Amino acid sequence: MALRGDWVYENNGGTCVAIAGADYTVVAADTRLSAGYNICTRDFSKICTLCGLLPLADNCVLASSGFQGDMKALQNNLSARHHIYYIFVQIYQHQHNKKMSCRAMAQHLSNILYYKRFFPYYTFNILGGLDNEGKGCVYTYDAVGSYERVGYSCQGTGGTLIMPVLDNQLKSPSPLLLAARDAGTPLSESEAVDLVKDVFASATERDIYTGDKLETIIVNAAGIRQEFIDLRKD
Amino acid sequence: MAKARVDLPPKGGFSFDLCRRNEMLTKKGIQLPGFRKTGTTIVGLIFEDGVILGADTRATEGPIVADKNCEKIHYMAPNIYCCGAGTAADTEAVTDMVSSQLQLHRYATRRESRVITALTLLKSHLFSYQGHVSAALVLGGVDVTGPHLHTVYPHGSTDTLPFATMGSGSLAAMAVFESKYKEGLTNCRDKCRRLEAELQLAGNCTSAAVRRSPVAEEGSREMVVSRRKRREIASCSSRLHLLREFGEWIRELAREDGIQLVGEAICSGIFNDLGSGSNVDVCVITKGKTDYLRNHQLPNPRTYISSRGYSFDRGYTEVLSTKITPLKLKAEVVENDAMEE
Repeated sequence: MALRGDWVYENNGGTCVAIAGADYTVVAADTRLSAGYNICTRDFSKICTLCGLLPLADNCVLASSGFQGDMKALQNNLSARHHIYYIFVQIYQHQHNKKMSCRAMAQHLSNILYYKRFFPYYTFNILGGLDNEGKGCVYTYDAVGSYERVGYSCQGTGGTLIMPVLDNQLKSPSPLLLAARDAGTPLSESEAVDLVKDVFASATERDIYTGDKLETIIVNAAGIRQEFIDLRKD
Repeated sequence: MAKARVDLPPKGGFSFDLCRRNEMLTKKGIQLPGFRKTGTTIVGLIFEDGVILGADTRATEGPIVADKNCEKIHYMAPNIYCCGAGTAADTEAVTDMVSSQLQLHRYATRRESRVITALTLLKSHLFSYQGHVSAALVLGGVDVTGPHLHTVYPHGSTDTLPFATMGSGSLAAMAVFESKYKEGLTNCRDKCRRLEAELQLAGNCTSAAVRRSPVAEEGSREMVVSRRKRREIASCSSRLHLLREFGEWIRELAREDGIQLVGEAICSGIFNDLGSGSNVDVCVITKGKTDYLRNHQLPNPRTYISSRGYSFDRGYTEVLSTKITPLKLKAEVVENDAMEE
């Protein structure tokens, strides 16, 4: 039991970003794992496509930054519960012919995180996918499960550097007009991917924990696509 | 209430009066402001003819890069340079201060500054501040006594070394030095020794040619040489000249090897230590000549530039209200009446 506070955790650095569009979602994260001033590995994926063996939620992608030990544990937990859910849903599916939607997965993740309210998973998560109507959706979480559907989000050590740029580029011209926050951006898929890459290149210049490689996952009606680009290695 | 002691004027140095107040504030939960540390890799090495200093160019403020291309190799004297790691303000202030003191000393003694002078000034200053001036330095230079390389620690201790590294990336850089230092530079030293032997031989040739001249045989000290002998000497000297040029080339090689090794060590720090990054600065100090190679290597270009660019049209930022206040008040000058009593 953690009675002595913070010493059980460690921040392994890194940044995650997700942007929702009209018919796609882009989820991106860098691949650097660090501890203190050292780099543990340059090739660590922070994104988990919640497909696994049983493609239950084939349109959902989870990106986490923070303590990667907890991230792995969370992913395993999610996929285990997935399988249990699937067994129940088998019965359910015969009757209702339904798969686990992105919305359901979002609530599910929130419950799992809150379950550990008094010894939290030290992860800052973003869930990205397509909702029932095929529009892009992004859900952003804090460490204990508070979540919200948004049009774009970023978490991690470079999050504070990237958020203002996304606010500027993706929000409607007047932030005073209460535009529906869960509205997707009108940008096209390639434009959004270009924005994400550029914004990561900028964050890498100024954040020491972000760099090496950028893994970008694009979820659209055709499925899930993965892209890699190089970032600064210093 | 009579004062028992006379108030002495402050002697300089730090005044620790506010420490108790700061402690009380921290207990109440107020964060003290942080310092900008350089999170650095700095190195120095002694080669054949002098000293090579190297440094990275990243300055960090916690996890954020404050300066992507700062200068960590500071000028002390025309023949002495100093790399600084630790708190940026401290390294700047201490090197500036000692640099001024060295200049005044040069004016007073009318001689080139010595590295040991700079070292003594630095170490006594840092020791008197008991480590509160957080400056870790690599000091190198060439003076009349030869090339010197020293490291200075924040508390005032120093080391004299043939190769040295400091900063958060010092382990990464030292790994490179420890494995490659002797190898790279001894080969050239051996080559140089062989060359020197040949030069000696060629020199003997010349002096032998001169000795054989009839005038010299008389035991006169003057080297009066006949035309034929002069031609012999010329052929010897041209060979000497060639050898000397070759020697220069070998010496160049040692210098290039040294610069390359320093570059490798700094790159090792840049890529493996998160506190160091961006570019490599090198400074080569030899007798009579200093080369400051700013941004000698640029191994970290920006990887992705958006071709779309960004446009910020008018109306992106909502203007809530506008108020114009004229700064110049129009004053009315009343003729004569105002000043007259």
